[in-house]
Amino acid sequence: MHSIAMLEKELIAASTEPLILSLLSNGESYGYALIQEVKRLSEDKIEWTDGMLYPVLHRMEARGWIKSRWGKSENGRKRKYYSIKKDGHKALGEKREQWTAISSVLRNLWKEQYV
Amino acid sequence: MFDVERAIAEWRQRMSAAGVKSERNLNELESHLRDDLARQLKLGSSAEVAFEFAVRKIGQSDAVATEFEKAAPAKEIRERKIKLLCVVFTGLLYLLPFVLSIPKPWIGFDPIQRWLGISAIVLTILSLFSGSVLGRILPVIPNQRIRTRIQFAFVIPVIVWIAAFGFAILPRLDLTFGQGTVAILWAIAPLAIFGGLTFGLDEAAYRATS
Repeated sequence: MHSIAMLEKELIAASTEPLILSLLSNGESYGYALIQEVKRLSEDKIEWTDGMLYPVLHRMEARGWIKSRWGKSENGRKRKYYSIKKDGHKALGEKREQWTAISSVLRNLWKEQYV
Repeated sequence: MFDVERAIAEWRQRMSAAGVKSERNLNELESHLRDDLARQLKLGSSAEVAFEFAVRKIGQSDAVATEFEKAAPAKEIRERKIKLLCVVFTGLLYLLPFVLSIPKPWIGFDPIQRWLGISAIVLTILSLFSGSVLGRILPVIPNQRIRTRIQFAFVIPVIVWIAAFGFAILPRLDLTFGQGTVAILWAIAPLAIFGGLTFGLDEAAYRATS
Protein backbone atom coordinates (compact mmCIF):
# COMPACT_ATOMS: atom_id res chain seq x y z
CA MET A 1 0.00 0.00 0.00
CA HIS A 2 1.26 3.46 -0.86
CA SER A 3 2.00 5.61 2.18
CA ILE A 4 2.99 9.27 2.42
CA ALA A 5 5.79 10.01 4.89
CA MET A 6 5.21 12.26 7.89
CA LEU A 7 6.09 15.87 7.16
CA GLU A 8 9.55 17.08 8.10
CA LYS A 9 10.01 18.68 11.51
CA GLU A 10 11.12 22.05 10.13
CA LEU A 11 8.18 22.24 7.76
CA ILE A 12 5.76 21.42 10.56
CA ALA A 13 7.37 24.09 12.78
CA ALA A 14 7.11 26.73 10.05
CA SER A 15 3.48 25.91 9.38
CA THR A 16 2.35 25.93 13.02
CA GLU A 17 1.45 29.62 13.28
CA PRO A 18 -0.46 29.83 9.98
CA LEU A 19 -2.31 26.64 10.89
CA ILE A 20 -3.31 27.97 14.31
CA LEU A 21 -4.36 31.34 12.87
CA SER A 22 -6.38 29.63 10.13
CA LEU A 23 -8.16 27.36 12.61
CA LEU A 24 -8.90 30.22 14.99
CA SER A 25 -10.23 32.34 12.13
CA ASN A 26 -13.08 29.78 12.04
CA GLY A 27 -13.89 30.46 15.70
CA GLU A 28 -12.70 30.17 19.28
CA SER A 29 -10.94 26.94 20.22
CA TYR A 30 -8.57 25.34 22.74
CA GLY A 31 -5.25 23.53 22.58
CA TYR A 32 -6.44 19.94 22.52
CA ALA A 33 -9.11 20.64 19.90
CA LEU A 34 -6.57 22.48 17.70
CA ILE A 35 -4.23 19.48 17.79
CA GLN A 36 -7.03 17.04 16.96
CA GLU A 37 -8.26 19.24 14.12
CA VAL A 38 -4.80 19.56 12.56
CA LYS A 39 -4.31 15.81 12.88
CA ARG A 40 -7.65 15.15 11.19
CA LEU A 41 -7.18 17.69 8.39
CA SER A 42 -3.65 16.46 7.64
CA GLU A 43 -4.77 12.82 7.81
CA ASP A 44 -2.27 12.19 10.62
CA LYS A 45 0.69 13.58 8.66
CA ILE A 46 1.07 16.53 11.02
CA GLU A 47 1.49 15.49 14.60
CA TRP A 48 2.58 18.17 17.04
CA THR A 49 4.20 17.33 20.36
CA ASP A 50 1.20 18.37 22.45
CA GLY A 51 3.10 20.31 25.12
CA MET A 52 4.95 22.38 22.53
CA LEU A 53 1.73 23.94 21.21
CA TYR A 54 1.14 26.03 24.32
CA PRO A 55 4.38 28.05 24.26
CA VAL A 56 3.59 28.84 20.60
CA LEU A 57 0.08 29.98 21.55
CA HIS A 58 1.54 32.15 24.34
CA ARG A 59 4.07 33.70 21.97
CA MET A 60 1.29 34.49 19.49
CA GLU A 61 -0.74 36.01 22.32
CA ALA A 62 2.24 38.16 23.37
CA ARG A 63 2.46 39.42 19.78
CA GLY A 64 -1.18 40.44 19.96
CA TRP A 65 -2.37 38.01 17.27
CA ILE A 66 -4.65 36.00 19.52
CA LYS A 67 -6.27 36.37 22.93
CA SER A 68 -7.24 33.88 25.57
CA ARG A 69 -9.78 33.43 28.31
CA TRP A 70 -10.36 30.78 30.96
CA GLY A 71 -13.73 29.13 30.56
CA LYS A 72 -15.42 25.87 31.40
CA SER A 73 -15.39 22.65 29.39
CA GLU A 74 -18.60 20.71 28.73
CA ASN A 75 -17.97 18.67 31.91
CA GLY A 76 -17.32 21.75 34.04
CA ARG A 77 -13.50 21.64 34.11
CA LYS A 78 -11.43 24.79 33.65
CA ARG A 79 -10.18 25.22 30.10
CA LYS A 80 -8.31 28.00 28.28
CA TYR A 81 -9.90 29.16 25.05
CA TYR A 82 -8.13 31.10 22.32
CA SER A 83 -9.55 33.40 19.67
CA ILE A 84 -8.03 35.45 16.87
CA LYS A 85 -7.60 39.24 17.09
CA LYS A 86 -7.49 41.91 14.38
CA ASP A 87 -3.67 41.75 14.17
CA GLY A 88 -3.96 37.97 13.91
CA HIS A 89 -6.17 38.28 10.82
CA LYS A 90 -3.58 40.65 9.36
CA ALA A 91 -0.73 38.23 10.14
CA LEU A 92 -2.76 35.38 8.66
CA GLY A 93 -3.23 37.39 5.45
CA GLU A 94 0.53 37.92 5.16
CA LYS A 95 1.33 34.28 5.89
CA ARG A 96 -1.27 33.15 3.41
CA GLU A 97 0.38 35.25 0.68
CA GLN A 98 3.81 33.81 1.50
CA TRP A 99 2.66 30.18 1.55
CA THR A 100 0.61 30.66 -1.61
CA ALA A 101 3.66 32.16 -3.37
CA ILE A 102 5.90 29.21 -2.41
CA SER A 103 3.22 26.70 -3.29
CA SER A 104 2.62 28.36 -6.66
CA VAL A 105 6.35 28.41 -7.54
CA LEU A 106 6.77 24.74 -6.67
CA ARG A 107 3.61 23.77 -8.55
CA ASN A 108 4.79 25.57 -11.69
CA LEU A 109 8.27 24.06 -11.45
CA TRP A 110 6.97 20.55 -11.07
CA LYS A 111 4.44 21.06 -13.85
CA GLU A 112 7.26 22.00 -16.25
CA GLN A 113 9.33 18.99 -15.18
CA TYR A 114 6.72 16.28 -15.34
CA VAL A 115 4.22 17.33 -18.00
CA MET B 1 -5.34 0.18 41.65
CA PHE B 2 -4.11 3.06 39.49
CA ASP B 3 -4.92 6.43 41.04
CA VAL B 4 -5.35 8.97 38.21
CA GLU B 5 -5.53 12.02 40.49
CA ARG B 6 -2.34 11.07 42.28
CA ALA B 7 -0.57 10.35 38.98
CA ILE B 8 -1.63 13.79 37.67
CA ALA B 9 -0.43 15.51 40.86
CA GLU B 10 2.96 13.76 40.57
CA TRP B 11 3.22 14.64 36.89
CA ARG B 12 2.53 18.31 37.74
CA GLN B 13 5.32 18.20 40.30
CA ARG B 14 7.70 16.78 37.70
CA MET B 15 6.77 19.51 35.23
CA SER B 16 7.22 22.18 37.90
CA ALA B 17 10.61 20.75 38.93
CA ALA B 18 11.69 20.81 35.27
CA GLY B 19 10.95 24.56 35.11
CA VAL B 20 7.27 25.01 34.20
CA LYS B 21 6.73 27.26 37.23
CA SER B 22 3.60 29.19 36.26
CA GLU B 23 0.45 27.77 37.85
CA ARG B 24 -1.55 28.86 34.82
CA ASN B 25 0.75 27.04 32.43
CA LEU B 26 0.53 23.92 34.58
CA ASN B 27 -3.27 24.26 34.72
CA GLU B 28 -3.42 24.55 30.95
CA LEU B 29 -1.21 21.49 30.44
CA GLU B 30 -3.27 19.56 33.00
CA SER B 31 -6.47 20.54 31.23
CA HIS B 32 -4.93 19.17 28.00
CA LEU B 33 -3.87 15.98 29.76
CA ARG B 34 -7.37 15.47 31.10
CA ASP B 35 -8.92 16.08 27.66
CA ASP B 36 -6.65 13.42 26.20
CA LEU B 37 -7.32 11.01 29.07
CA ALA B 38 -11.08 11.42 28.68
CA ARG B 39 -10.86 10.73 24.96
CA GLN B 40 -8.72 7.63 25.38
CA LEU B 41 -10.90 6.24 28.17
CA LYS B 42 -13.91 6.70 25.90
CA LEU B 43 -12.10 4.65 23.26
CA GLY B 44 -11.66 1.83 25.78
CA SER B 45 -8.11 2.30 27.11
CA SER B 46 -7.34 1.54 30.74
CA ALA B 47 -6.66 4.57 32.96
CA GLU B 48 -3.00 3.67 33.41
CA VAL B 49 -2.30 3.13 29.70
CA ALA B 50 -4.24 6.29 28.79
CA PHE B 51 -2.31 8.33 31.34
CA GLU B 52 1.12 7.08 30.23
CA PHE B 53 0.25 7.72 26.58
CA ALA B 54 -1.12 11.23 27.27
CA VAL B 55 1.98 12.15 29.29
CA ARG B 56 4.25 10.88 26.51
CA LYS B 57 2.35 12.94 23.95
CA ILE B 58 2.70 16.13 25.99
CA GLY B 59 6.45 15.68 25.71
CA GLN B 60 9.59 15.65 27.83
CA SER B 61 9.20 18.00 30.80
CA ASP B 62 12.60 19.66 30.21
CA ALA B 63 11.85 20.34 26.54
CA VAL B 64 8.39 21.74 27.32
CA ALA B 65 9.84 23.97 30.07
CA THR B 66 12.49 25.28 27.68
CA GLU B 67 9.84 26.16 25.10
CA PHE B 68 7.77 28.00 27.71
CA GLU B 69 10.86 29.92 28.77
CA LYS B 70 11.56 30.88 25.15
CA ALA B 71 7.98 32.07 24.74
CA ALA B 72 8.19 34.46 27.73
CA PRO B 73 8.96 37.94 26.43
CA ALA B 74 12.73 38.54 26.62
CA LYS B 75 12.23 42.08 27.95
CA GLU B 76 10.19 40.82 30.88
CA ILE B 77 12.83 38.22 31.75
CA ARG B 78 15.58 40.87 31.62
CA GLU B 79 13.57 43.29 33.79
CA ARG B 80 12.88 40.53 36.28
CA LYS B 81 16.57 39.70 36.57
CA ILE B 82 17.46 43.40 37.07
CA LYS B 83 14.81 43.73 39.80
CA LEU B 84 16.10 40.58 41.52
CA LEU B 85 19.67 41.92 41.38
CA CYS B 86 18.47 45.23 42.88
CA VAL B 87 16.78 43.36 45.73
CA VAL B 88 19.90 41.27 46.44
CA PHE B 89 22.16 44.36 46.22
CA THR B 90 19.87 46.35 48.58
CA GLY B 91 19.81 43.41 51.02
CA LEU B 92 23.62 43.19 51.03
CA LEU B 93 24.00 46.95 51.41
CA TYR B 94 21.56 46.90 54.31
CA LEU B 95 23.42 44.11 56.07
CA LEU B 96 26.90 45.54 55.43
CA PRO B 97 27.15 47.74 58.59
CA PHE B 98 26.12 44.78 60.76
CA VAL B 99 28.57 42.42 59.06
CA LEU B 100 31.36 44.98 59.55
CA SER B 101 30.47 45.34 63.24
CA ILE B 102 30.44 41.58 63.90
CA PRO B 103 33.56 41.64 66.17
CA LYS B 104 31.69 43.90 68.63
CA PRO B 105 27.98 43.58 67.87
CA TRP B 106 25.29 45.56 69.66
CA ILE B 107 27.59 47.38 72.10
CA GLY B 108 25.67 50.04 73.97
CA PHE B 109 22.34 48.25 73.54
CA ASP B 110 20.28 46.95 76.43
CA PRO B 111 18.68 43.47 75.91
CA ILE B 112 15.31 44.90 74.83
CA GLN B 113 16.92 47.20 72.26
CA ARG B 114 19.02 44.27 71.01
CA TRP B 115 15.97 42.08 70.38
CA LEU B 116 13.99 44.95 68.88
CA GLY B 117 16.92 45.66 66.55
CA ILE B 118 17.39 42.03 65.53
CA SER B 119 13.66 41.57 64.88
CA ALA B 120 13.62 44.71 62.70
CA ILE B 121 16.55 43.33 60.64
CA VAL B 122 14.93 39.90 60.28
CA LEU B 123 11.62 41.48 59.24
CA THR B 124 13.36 43.74 56.73
CA ILE B 125 15.38 40.95 55.11
CA LEU B 126 12.42 38.54 54.97
CA SER B 127 10.20 41.28 53.51
CA LEU B 128 12.81 42.17 50.92
CA PHE B 129 12.86 38.59 49.63
CA SER B 130 9.14 37.92 50.11
CA GLY B 131 8.29 38.70 46.47
CA SER B 132 8.47 35.13 45.16
CA VAL B 133 6.16 33.87 47.95
CA LEU B 134 3.77 36.84 47.66
CA GLY B 135 3.66 36.23 43.89
CA ARG B 136 1.63 33.08 44.60
CA ILE B 137 -1.06 34.84 46.62
CA LEU B 138 -1.28 38.40 45.31
CA PRO B 139 -3.86 39.26 42.62
CA VAL B 140 -2.68 39.09 39.01
CA ILE B 141 -2.51 42.49 37.30
CA PRO B 142 -1.44 41.65 33.74
CA ASN B 143 -1.42 45.26 32.48
CA GLN B 144 2.08 46.54 33.23
CA ARG B 145 1.07 50.22 33.21
CA ILE B 146 -1.61 49.69 35.86
CA ARG B 147 0.80 47.50 37.87
CA THR B 148 3.49 50.19 37.82
CA ARG B 149 0.99 52.81 39.01
CA ILE B 150 -0.06 50.61 41.91
CA GLN B 151 3.61 49.94 42.77
CA PHE B 152 4.33 53.68 42.81
CA ALA B 153 1.28 54.19 45.00
CA PHE B 154 2.82 51.64 47.42
CA VAL B 155 6.33 53.01 47.47
CA ILE B 156 5.90 56.80 47.34
CA PRO B 157 4.22 57.15 50.81
CA VAL B 158 6.96 54.96 52.30
CA ILE B 159 9.70 57.10 50.77
CA VAL B 160 7.92 60.23 52.05
CA TRP B 161 7.76 58.58 55.50
CA ILE B 162 11.49 57.76 55.51
CA ALA B 163 12.38 61.29 54.38
CA ALA B 164 10.11 62.80 57.06
CA PHE B 165 11.57 60.46 59.68
CA GLY B 166 15.19 61.17 58.70
CA PHE B 167 14.92 64.92 58.26
CA ALA B 168 12.08 66.01 60.54
CA ILE B 169 11.44 63.47 63.30
CA LEU B 170 14.81 61.92 64.14
CA PRO B 171 16.77 65.21 64.58
CA ARG B 172 14.15 66.38 67.13
CA LEU B 173 14.36 63.25 69.25
CA ASP B 174 16.84 63.01 72.08
CA LEU B 175 17.84 59.35 71.79
CA THR B 176 20.74 57.24 72.97
CA PHE B 177 22.81 55.42 70.31
CA GLY B 178 20.91 52.17 70.97
CA GLN B 179 17.47 53.82 70.85
CA GLY B 180 18.39 55.74 67.69
CA THR B 181 19.61 52.61 65.89
CA VAL B 182 16.48 50.66 66.78
CA ALA B 183 14.27 53.57 65.67
CA ILE B 184 16.10 53.78 62.32
CA LEU B 185 15.90 50.02 61.76
CA TRP B 186 12.13 50.04 62.32
CA ALA B 187 11.69 53.18 60.22
CA ILE B 188 13.41 51.46 57.26
CA ALA B 189 11.39 48.21 57.59
CA PRO B 190 8.24 49.52 55.76
CA LEU B 191 10.37 50.19 52.68
CA ALA B 192 11.33 46.51 52.56
CA ILE B 193 7.73 45.39 53.22
CA PHE B 194 6.34 47.48 50.38
CA GLY B 195 9.35 46.62 48.21
CA GLY B 196 8.45 42.94 48.70
CA LEU B 197 4.83 43.71 47.78
CA THR B 198 5.80 45.49 44.55
CA PHE B 199 8.13 42.64 43.58
CA GLY B 200 5.36 40.19 44.49
CA LEU B 201 2.91 41.92 42.11
CA ASP B 202 5.46 41.50 39.29
CA GLU B 203 5.98 37.87 40.21
CA ALA B 204 2.22 37.20 40.25
CA ALA B 205 1.87 38.70 36.75
CA TYR B 206 4.96 36.84 35.51
CA ARG B 207 3.72 33.51 36.87
CA ALA B 208 0.34 34.04 35.26
CA THR B 209 1.52 35.06 31.83
CA SER B 210 4.80 33.22 31.32
